[in-house]
Amino acid sequence: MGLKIPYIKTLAFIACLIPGTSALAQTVTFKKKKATLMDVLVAIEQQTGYGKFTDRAAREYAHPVDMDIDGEPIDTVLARFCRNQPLIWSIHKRIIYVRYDHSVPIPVEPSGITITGRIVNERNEPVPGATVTISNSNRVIATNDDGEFILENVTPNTRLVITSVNYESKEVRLEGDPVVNIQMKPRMSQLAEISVVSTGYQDLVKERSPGSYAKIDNALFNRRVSNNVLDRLDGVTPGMIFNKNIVPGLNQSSMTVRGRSTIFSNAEPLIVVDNFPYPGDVNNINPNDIENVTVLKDANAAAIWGAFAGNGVIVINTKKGRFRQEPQLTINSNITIGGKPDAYYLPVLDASNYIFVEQYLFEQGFYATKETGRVPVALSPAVELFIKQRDGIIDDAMLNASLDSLRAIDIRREKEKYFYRNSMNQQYAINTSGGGANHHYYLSVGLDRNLHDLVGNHSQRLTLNANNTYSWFNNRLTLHTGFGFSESNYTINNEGGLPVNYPYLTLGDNAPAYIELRQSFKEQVKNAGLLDWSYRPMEEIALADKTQKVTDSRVNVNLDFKIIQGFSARILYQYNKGQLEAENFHSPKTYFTRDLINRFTQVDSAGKFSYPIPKDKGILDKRNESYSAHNVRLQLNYLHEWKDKHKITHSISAMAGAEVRDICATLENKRLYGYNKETLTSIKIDTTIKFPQYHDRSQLLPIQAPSYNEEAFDRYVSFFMTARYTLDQRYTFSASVRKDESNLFGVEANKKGVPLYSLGFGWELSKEKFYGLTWLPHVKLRITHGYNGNVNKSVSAYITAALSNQSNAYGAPVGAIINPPNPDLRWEKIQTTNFALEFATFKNIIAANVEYYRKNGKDLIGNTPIDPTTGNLQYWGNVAKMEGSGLDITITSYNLNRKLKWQSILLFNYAKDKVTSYGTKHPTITPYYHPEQLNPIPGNPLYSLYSLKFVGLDPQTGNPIGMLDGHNSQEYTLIINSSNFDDLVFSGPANPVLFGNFRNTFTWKQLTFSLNISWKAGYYFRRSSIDYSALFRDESIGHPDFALRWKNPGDEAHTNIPSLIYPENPARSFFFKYSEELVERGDHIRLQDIQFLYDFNLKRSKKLPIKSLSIYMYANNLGILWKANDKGIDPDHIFDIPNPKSIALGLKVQF
Amino acid sequence: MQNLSKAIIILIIILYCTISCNKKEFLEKIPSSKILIPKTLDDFQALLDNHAILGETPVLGELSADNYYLIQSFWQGLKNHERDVYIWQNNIFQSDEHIGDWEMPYQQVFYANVVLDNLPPATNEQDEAIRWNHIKGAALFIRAYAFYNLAQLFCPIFDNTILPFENEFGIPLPLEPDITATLKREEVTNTYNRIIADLSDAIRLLPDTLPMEHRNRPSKPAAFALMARIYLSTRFYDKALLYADSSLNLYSSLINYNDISTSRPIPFTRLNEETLYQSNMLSTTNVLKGLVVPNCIADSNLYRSYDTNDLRKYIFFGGTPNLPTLKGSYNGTIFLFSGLATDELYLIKAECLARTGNYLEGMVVLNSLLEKRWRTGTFVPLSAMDETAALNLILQERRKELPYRGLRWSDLRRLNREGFEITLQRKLDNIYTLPPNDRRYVLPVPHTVLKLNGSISQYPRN
Repeated sequence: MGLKIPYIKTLAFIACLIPGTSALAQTVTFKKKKATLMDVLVAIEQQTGYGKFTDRAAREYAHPVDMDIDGEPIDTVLARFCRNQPLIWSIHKRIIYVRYDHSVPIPVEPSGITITGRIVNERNEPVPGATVTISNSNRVIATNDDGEFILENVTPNTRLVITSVNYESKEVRLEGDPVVNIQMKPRMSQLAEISVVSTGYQDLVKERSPGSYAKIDNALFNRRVSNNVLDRLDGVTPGMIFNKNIVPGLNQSSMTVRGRSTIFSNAEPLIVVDNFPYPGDVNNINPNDIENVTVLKDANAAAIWGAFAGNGVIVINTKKGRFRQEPQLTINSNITIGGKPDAYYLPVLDASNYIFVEQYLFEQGFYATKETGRVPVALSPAVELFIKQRDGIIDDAMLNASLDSLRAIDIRREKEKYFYRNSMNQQYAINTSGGGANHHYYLSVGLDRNLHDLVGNHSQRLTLNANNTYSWFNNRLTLHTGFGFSESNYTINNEGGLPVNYPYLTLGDNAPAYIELRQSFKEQVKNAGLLDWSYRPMEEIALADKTQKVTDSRVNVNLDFKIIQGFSARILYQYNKGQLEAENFHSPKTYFTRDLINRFTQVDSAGKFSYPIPKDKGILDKRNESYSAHNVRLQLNYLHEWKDKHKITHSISAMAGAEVRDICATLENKRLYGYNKETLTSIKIDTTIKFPQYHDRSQLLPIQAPSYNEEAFDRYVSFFMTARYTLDQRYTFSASVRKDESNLFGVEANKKGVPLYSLGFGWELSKEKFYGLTWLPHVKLRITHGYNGNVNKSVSAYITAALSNQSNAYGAPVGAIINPPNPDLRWEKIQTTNFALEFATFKNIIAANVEYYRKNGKDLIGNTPIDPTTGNLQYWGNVAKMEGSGLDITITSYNLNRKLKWQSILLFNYAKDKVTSYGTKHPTITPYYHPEQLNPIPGNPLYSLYSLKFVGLDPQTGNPIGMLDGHNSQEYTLIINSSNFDDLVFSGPANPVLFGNFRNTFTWKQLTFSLNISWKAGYYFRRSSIDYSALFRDESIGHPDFALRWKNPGDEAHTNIPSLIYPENPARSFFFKYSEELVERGDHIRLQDIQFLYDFNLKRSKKLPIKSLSIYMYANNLGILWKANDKGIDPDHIFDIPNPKSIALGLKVQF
Repeated sequence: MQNLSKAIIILIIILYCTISCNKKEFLEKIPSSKILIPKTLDDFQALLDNHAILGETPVLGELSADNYYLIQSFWQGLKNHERDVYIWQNNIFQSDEHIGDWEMPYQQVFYANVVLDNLPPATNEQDEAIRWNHIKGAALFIRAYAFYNLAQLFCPIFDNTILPFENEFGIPLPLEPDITATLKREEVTNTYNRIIADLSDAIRLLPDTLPMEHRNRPSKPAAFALMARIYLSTRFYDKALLYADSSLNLYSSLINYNDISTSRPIPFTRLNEETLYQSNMLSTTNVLKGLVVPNCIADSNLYRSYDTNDLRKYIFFGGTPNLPTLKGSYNGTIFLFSGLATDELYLIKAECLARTGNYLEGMVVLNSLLEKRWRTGTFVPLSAMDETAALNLILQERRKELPYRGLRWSDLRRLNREGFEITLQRKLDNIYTLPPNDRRYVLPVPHTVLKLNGSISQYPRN
């Protein structure tokens, strides 16, 4: 049926093109009983050459007429046929037009039935707002938010036409069935699809909310292959950046939504899983169980989360079954192979140069104090050789031969060979879902097995998910139960590092690494009867037995009840429980155990050994962390729509409720000595006795047996309310209020909680009558304004003390004041204003969403130095203010829409923050450029890179020259501690200000290919270089820049690397380390990943029980295309090795 | 259906009410088992037992004094202010941001103020009331001790002859745990008045007996001892005598040094018999420590002044006779003892007796101390012809008994007032001297403090 209209149109069109076939009679002769309109028109056409054009209604409703015409004009024939019929006819330019007269009501056919239906998309998600038209009538109805519709009094075998902006129209013939489920196919050219976004409280039609949401639907979510949920948002979510190069202690968040708006409070976005904040590790969630993710970005979208929403909210919804869904079984499996980490990426001083430095230091007598000291501290193999040569134990030739063999060793080659390997991740996921009229279910099992790229490390995760929904009383009462469980087992036998810094360590031959105590001492005491004291790195990895078991469960019970028309109530409950059990068993063979036993070995006057730490037995370190959370929410919803005929003129939807959360976390640490893994027995140790250490008799130490318990409680009570009002489907007003209260420690003012509100307004300009731009059929403006908050539990209005786990030297418990009283303490508030413009050109060829926002952080908690005379060095309080602004631009374009389809999506983000006020300045510049301290300077971004002015090298000495009070200076101690802020250089923001992605998707037949390019720009980082201070003190493996150092006058023309001097000046090294010379631009473009997806067309082979089958390939971390620095540094990996390239192959089958 | 509706609505109302009604109690849960608002006497005792903070005293005075010298190369590698204070530079706080000599005592004052401010009203219950007294007394003692230690460095010497100009440069005296308060220099007179007042209150509250297992806790003997030290340094010798005597009346044990190992690097324990109150000089210093600083050498004149039979020569000093270094002290660790001990009281008593016309009795007191310091059977009691000779002998023994105890700087200040004309000298590349009564005997306020508190004035050191 669907083909008929274009067919007729085409005919009419062809008829118009042939006006020259003229010499035909203008009269018609026609005779037929019960002739239809088409019979008549075809006859006229044949006899006169006149074209014909009719609408569908005319054909449908024209009654057949007995015709008997003999040579009469066309108009007579038409008049005859159309008499007493709801038809209008006309002739214009040799075309006959017959139309249905809409002024005549369509006769309602009696004895109709009532049908209920549900429209879903290809992923079984409801399609709200779709138009359902009964064919041949003007009866139209729109689906509700659940994609459902009810039609009363319908002919049993009538046809329904379903249309929706983003889906291809579909026509369905009713086969007398009162229940229909219709699945729609998305149009290739879809704009921001009509999507339902979830706030964790409500599902909203995105188009009807003025807030700023970013939705990652299932297809996009599954584009990337990974075992982590959040990874999959990287590079596809507008306004969101995943932070790299995280330094502990700087309160950097792993990800940032729309820039930074706090300093010391929680900086991570809130993660909501199935309606409630998720207190566990997100790694416990299997991405295969995730249906979609919504990121709430602005105040209006996130306001419903109040004081938790300051950093944005990520709402994760797990998969569920649907009512009246055929049972289906999906199997997804893939394998990811990753490359070996690049052992050559991080800078290392090569063995020759390293030995050169050691020889130089040896000649200067640098090692004399170590050699003759009371404690026999370790010296490197090369230094031991120099000593032997000096003492005449070996001759020069022997020394040189031994040094040469050391020079031939490269720790990087060793690591590549023995330490790293290819990683391999296997993922298996099976789920089944389905549903009847009153019940639906979802059940899944997932297994992930990961072999890590560090030899010795592997992990495994098992996940189970089950949910069931039951309904009674005609869907008025719905009960949903959900259960999720995961168990992850990690084996971490390789910590990733090596305990020595000399670059000529071999790993393969199990030679000892010279650590902690002198090797000669170790060998000597072994002969004296102590345990072998040597450390062999690869052997330690083989002996290690360090595991972590993480279990996590989640139980949901939701009760939904439709009270009366428009009103519904929900009671939601979620219980979470998680546990981490970490065990590190040091067997008697491990260095850890041997070392500790040796250190405590006692020798009596007769030379007999005794062992305060049990010999031949292991040591077990145990850590248990657990949490449990109860969440209860009561929620009342109200929805009312005012309809004018079949159109909704205005609607109001409101929600109010209250919520209680109670989270309890515990931590337990302990160490057991003399542990036997088989019998699980241990030996009690007296930790009060102090023993002289074997290697240092003057040092008296007790045996450490830490035992530690801690409990933490987080409690919240929140009240919330939100309402939306839509007028004429053009104007939307939205408002929400929330008040959060918590058990913040004894804060009288805060205890009353913080009320936060937001307002929003949306205007669909293109729906206005005056709007006339046909090439731009969709234009919408949105403005929102409001407040979010942030929680900081580290401060209190009252004086707060902590009891230490350790008693003082006299055995009494010790208390420390951790928080001076601060009666003015307030909650942090973040004011956000968002302006959005969205538009789409004709046929959605180009669609764009442009959002500009401003953020204003008020009352932010900061620490500011205060007069030490008060007894406190710093004050923690609401001393800081921040401002931020940014742009999120998403442009989607359909460049080709033929057999080969080509879609481009450009994400362009700009996010800049600025600290506008921040307590008192520190007296010196040191805390500002120091990389491990967070000390903002008003006017600059929170994370800024500061450095020291660098003039060049002294032509005489190769000393670096800095600036002090505006003059060239080599007074390094004064330079690095200057109190003149003009000596401090603001090098730029330390985090990308501009970032984004460019994703291109090509579809040809069943093959989809997509490629994602990402970039970051507008930021700076500090690279490493030779740090003589660290090199001499054996704290660093050195840097190849050493070879570029200043050696002779004149070198300063082509190098800025300072000369090697002795004695070393720590302040000189420190100055160079933080000088602007080592600052690099971070800008870069990277080919993030590519994906191939092939969907087998199984329609032709209906015999197979398979509904769909697809195979996919995904390659990740493909490399940098361009970068601003020429030092070979990946700006996302300044101090670690970049993630190796990986390739995944997978298969997904649906039965 | 109707009933179900009602049931559910009622359920919601009940749940809602439950949330609202129990909210206050629910939200009062302390967020962590680690933290608390100090309320009970146990809590306050735990704060006062934080010995890592309350047991530290300034070191800059001893660093400025003449009991030691440094090897040039070692001196060069020191923290800026320690290097500068060694040669009595005018501006010793050029670049080091944190100066523990100022910060630590004021942190102790803050702890004391927190206790004094939050201590619940006294109860009538016998045991509790006694404990309450002890805690309040301890807090007052700690405040007085901290203020006194600060005054020795940052105030001009206070005595009967203080000039109005000098009197302006007392120290700030925070008496409440208020971090927003603007603190000014008080008069020196007020500073000492406050110290004496706090200590007098403490004496009324503290226990009569020494807490033998908790020598970090103040007691009446310790408070009397501190009072004696204060009056001695301010040259009110009659009062110093009175308080030294009061303390010795309550506790007067001396260690017989013949029972002490001369070979052990740390010869004494923290619970040794003489200690009345334990504290040590800043553990953050790189200079004055037992054992670990081989380049910090005892003053040659001082070292040579010990008789070969004087055990102190072997117990106080290690290293070699040419380069004698410091050993662990009454603190029982490598950190140097700066607390209160009975030996100091014997010396105060002896000196004050000599100064108040009782020099013979003073010599008796001195000899009773020295007897315990010499090898058994070798000690011949000292005698003096007149008051001056007795005083000189007592002062000489004072220096030999109490080196590196943080007392020498105060002694130099007061003795130079009395015309002892002790000029200090340092030899490095150059020779540096500190003449008697020089203005550099008052240390400058750290520049961090000046920058963050505009109302503190700097004493003109030149």
